[in-house]
Amino acid sequence: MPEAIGPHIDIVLQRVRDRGAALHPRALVMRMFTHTQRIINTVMQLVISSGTLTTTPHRVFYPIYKTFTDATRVVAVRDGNRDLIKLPNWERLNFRSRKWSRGVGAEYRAFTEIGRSLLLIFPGVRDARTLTVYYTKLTGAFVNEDDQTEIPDEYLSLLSDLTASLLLIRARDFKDLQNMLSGSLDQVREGLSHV
Amino acid sequence: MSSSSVRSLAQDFAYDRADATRLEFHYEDAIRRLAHVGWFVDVTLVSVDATTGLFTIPSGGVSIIGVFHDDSILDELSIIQVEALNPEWRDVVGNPKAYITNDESRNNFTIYPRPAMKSKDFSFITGTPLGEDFPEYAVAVIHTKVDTDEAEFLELPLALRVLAEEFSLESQIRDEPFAKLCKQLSDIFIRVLE
Repeated sequence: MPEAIGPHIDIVLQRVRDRGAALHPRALVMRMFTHTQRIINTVMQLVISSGTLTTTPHRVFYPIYKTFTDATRVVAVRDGNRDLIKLPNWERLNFRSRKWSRGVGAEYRAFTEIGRSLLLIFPGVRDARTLTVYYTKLTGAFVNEDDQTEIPDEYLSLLSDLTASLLLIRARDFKDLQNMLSGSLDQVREGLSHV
Repeated sequence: MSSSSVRSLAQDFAYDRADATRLEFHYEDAIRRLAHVGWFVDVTLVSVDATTGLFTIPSGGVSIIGVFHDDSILDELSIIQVEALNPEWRDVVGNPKAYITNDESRNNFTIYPRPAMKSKDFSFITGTPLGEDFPEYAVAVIHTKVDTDEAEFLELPLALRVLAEEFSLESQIRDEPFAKLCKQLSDIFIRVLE
């Protein structure tokens, strides 16, 4: 269940021994929460959103960020109820045909990302279609303390740990930092291995 | 992701003591490094003159990931490989099979053999240069690019990278342990985000 970010700011400020927010203003802590939530979500692919991509005939390359401004990574592409196959990399297509970039088929079959900003949908088709693209969402910025978290509850402790670690770095409090940060990063790496 | 938001975040960590001009410089440096890693990619069409084999990497491009001539993908060859194939390779005109990036300049690439045909006009009637309007015999280049407007999720790792550079420089605010930690954390974040 989403939770307001305000109480989490209180908890984090207590953990870094700055209950009165003398060293770390609450607005700044909220901003750190924005960034840590984005990193956790991008790495672990927790909050997924979708959008419509209207394709153009004979075309295989589409910009991702210009089309889906709140996307961080494409996780699936669906043509109606049919999932396209996710290729591990675009070079795979070279084994199929040297002319894949201009080849035309009856329906879309596969997709992959090139870098993080280019979506390849294979093969090109003769008419414009509408595809549904599923992507990891760029979570919103916390602007007010009533704003709600977006990642699932079980990741809120990680969110607080990472944010507190950033505040300890800011305070140059390296003594307390090590345990908190290494634990958080282990969780992020572990989460990544499950994606 | 904008330069100002990354620099502002960096100043939050630096208690506004970092040099604003240097932060801008560090930011541009960090963005260029990302471009080499290949996060931001684009496809650009390049027109072809008959028998011209030397091309410039499209504006804003950093490194080449793939090159197509007309409807075919080209293989990447090193200069040593192409010279072994044919010592007089620069004179060969025909249907392009490969591209070479480590020839004369970092900003250029060469196509082998040199294309025999001039590309058709770049007139995009339906407004889809990479779709129906793709000009025959043109070259399309997939390349990494320097991009400052995308991927807001990278703001924190970039701010940490900028701080690492700023606080490792010889200055009144130099702080090696802090700079080292910022660099390590930035590297970890970028690695897990890849």
